[in-house]
Amino acid sequence: MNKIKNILTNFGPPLLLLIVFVAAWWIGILIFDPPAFVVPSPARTVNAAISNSERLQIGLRNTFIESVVGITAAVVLGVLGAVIMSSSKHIERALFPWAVALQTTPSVAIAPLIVLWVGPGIISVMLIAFIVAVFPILANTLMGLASTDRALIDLLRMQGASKSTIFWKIKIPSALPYFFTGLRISAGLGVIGAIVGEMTVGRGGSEAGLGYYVMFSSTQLRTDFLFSTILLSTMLGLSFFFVAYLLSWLALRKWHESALAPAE
Amino acid sequence: MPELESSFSNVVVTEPQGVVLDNKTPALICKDVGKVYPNGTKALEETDLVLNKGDFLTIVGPSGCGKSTFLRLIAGLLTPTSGTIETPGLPETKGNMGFVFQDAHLLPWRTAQRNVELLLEVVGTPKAERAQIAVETLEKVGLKGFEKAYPRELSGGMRMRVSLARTLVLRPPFFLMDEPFAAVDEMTRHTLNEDFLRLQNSEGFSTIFVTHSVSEAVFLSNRVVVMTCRPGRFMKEVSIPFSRNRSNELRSTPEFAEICGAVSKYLWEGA
Ligand SMILES: Nc1ncnc2c1ncn2[C@@H]1O[C@H](COP(=O)(O)OP(=O)(O)OP(=O)(O)O)[C@@H](O)[C@H]1O
Ligand SMILES: [Mg+2]
Repeated sequence: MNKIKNILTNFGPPLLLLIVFVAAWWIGILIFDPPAFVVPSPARTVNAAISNSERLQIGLRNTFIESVVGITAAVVLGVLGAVIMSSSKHIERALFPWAVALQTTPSVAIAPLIVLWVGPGIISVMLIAFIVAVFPILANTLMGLASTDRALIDLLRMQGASKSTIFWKIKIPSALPYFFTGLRISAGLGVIGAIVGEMTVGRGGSEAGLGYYVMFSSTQLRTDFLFSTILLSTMLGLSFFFVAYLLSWLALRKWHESALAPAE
Repeated sequence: MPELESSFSNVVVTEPQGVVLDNKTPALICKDVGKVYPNGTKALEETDLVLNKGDFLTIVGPSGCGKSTFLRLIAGLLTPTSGTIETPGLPETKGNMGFVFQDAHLLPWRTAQRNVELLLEVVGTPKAERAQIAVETLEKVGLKGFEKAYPRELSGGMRMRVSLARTLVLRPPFFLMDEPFAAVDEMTRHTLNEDFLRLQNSEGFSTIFVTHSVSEAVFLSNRVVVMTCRPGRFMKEVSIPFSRNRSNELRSTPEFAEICGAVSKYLWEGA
C-alpha cells in the first residue's frame, strides 16, 4: 500500500503533466489545423512510429549500443584519468587543460576529422559519444578524490598505511558521490552524443541509429516520423538517466545525503 | 624546580618542565623544537618538554599559537625545522600513538563498528579478532548496541565516542588529542571527560591534550602547560594536585576554582 502511494507521489505529477501536454498538443491541432508536415497530430505520430517500427527498432538498438559503449568507455577512462591526475599536481596541471579543451571543442566540428580518420559508422559514433560523456565523469571524480578529508589520511598515515590502502579505504569511497554526479550528467550526454554522432558521422542501413532517422525523415519532410524518432530518443535518454540514478541510489543509499529519504 | 611567586596559595607553578627527572624513562623528550612553515610562518619556537609515562599533560593557549602544530610534530605528520623529538619510552612500532581530532572524522559509509575496525585493518588484525575488539571497545566507550548504526544516526557526542574507540582499539601507549571534545555541549563534555579519565586510569596511557577550556584542562590533567603566541612558546606549567580518581564533584570545590583561576590568569598574560 505504501509502495503504491510512493510511486504515485513520485511519478504522478510528471505523468499528469505529460497527459496535459498531449491534450494541449491535440487541442492545438484541432484549433489551428496546421499542415501535417509542420506539426503532426499525436495520432499521426503514433501511426508513423507503428508503420516504421522496424526502422525504429534498428535505430533504437544501434543508438543504445553506441551510447552504452561510449558511456562505459567514458566511465573507465574518465575514472582512470581522474586517478592519474589526482596522484600528482604536476600531471593534473599538464593534463586537465587538454581535457577541458577536448570538452569545449564542439563535437560536430571534429566530426569531419573523425570520419577522415576512422571512417563513418558505428565506431565513429561511439567515439563522439565518448568524447561528450567523458568530461563530467573526469572532472567530478577528480574533485571527489581531491576533497578527501585530510584528517583521515593523516590518521591512516600515522599507523603506517600505504598509499594504496588510503586510496581504497578512504579516497575511492569519498569520491563515489562525486563520481555518480558525473555519471548522471554523462548518461544523458552520452545518448545526445550518440545521436549527434549518427547525424554527422553515422551510416544508414543496418548501422542506422535514431540520429540517422532524424536526418532521413527531416530531409524527406516526413515530420510525423521525425516526431516519433525524437520522442523515442528522449525516452532513451531518460531511461539512461534513470539507470544512472538507480545505480547511484543503490551505491549510496546507506549513507549519503543525496540518496537518503528526506526526513518526515 | 624553583617555584615561582604566586598569589594563589595552593597552586604550584613552575617553568615548563623540560628536563629529565629521576631515573625514569620518559615517554617523550622534546628539545628546542621549532617549526617554521614553508610559507614563512613561525608557528613554534624553542619548545622543551618532557613527558613521563602515565602523564596527562594539557596544553592551553591562545588560538593560533601552535598547539595543533606541536601535536602534529609529535605525531610525525610534520617535521620540525629545528630541535629533536624523541620517544624513548615508547615501542618503535607504528601504532604507538593515537591521534584524536576536534571533529569525529568518521567514515560516513561505515557503521560504528566498521569505523572502529578501520585502523585494525590498516595494521593487519585478522577479521574475526577485529570484530570482537571493535564490539568490546564500543562497549568500553558506552556505545553498546550501536554497532550497526551509521554516523549520521548518532549524536555529536556519540560520534566522538566512536572516534575515540577507533583509536583505543590499537591500545596506543600515547594519546595525542587536539580539542577532541570542543564540538559537543558542556554536559556531554563533562561526561566524556569523566569517561576518558576513567579509561586513562585503567589503560595507563600517556596523553597530551589540547583544549580551549581551562576547566577541562584542570579536570583532566596532572600537568597544564600555558602557551604564548607568535611565535608559540611554552610559558608556564601548573601542577594539578588532585588524585587521579576524579569525579564531576571536583568541579565545584574551591581548590578546583582556584587552580582554574591561576591557569586563566597565565593564559591572559600570554595572550
Ligand atoms: N599548513 C600550514 N601552513 C602555514 N601556516 C600554518 C599551517 N598550519 C598552521 N599554520 C600557522 O601556524 C600557526 C599555528 O597554527 P596551529 O594550527 O598550530 O594553532 P593552534 O594553536 O592549534 O590554534 P587553534 O587553537 O585555533 O586550533 C598559525 O599562525 C597558523 O596560521
Ligand atoms: Mg588547533
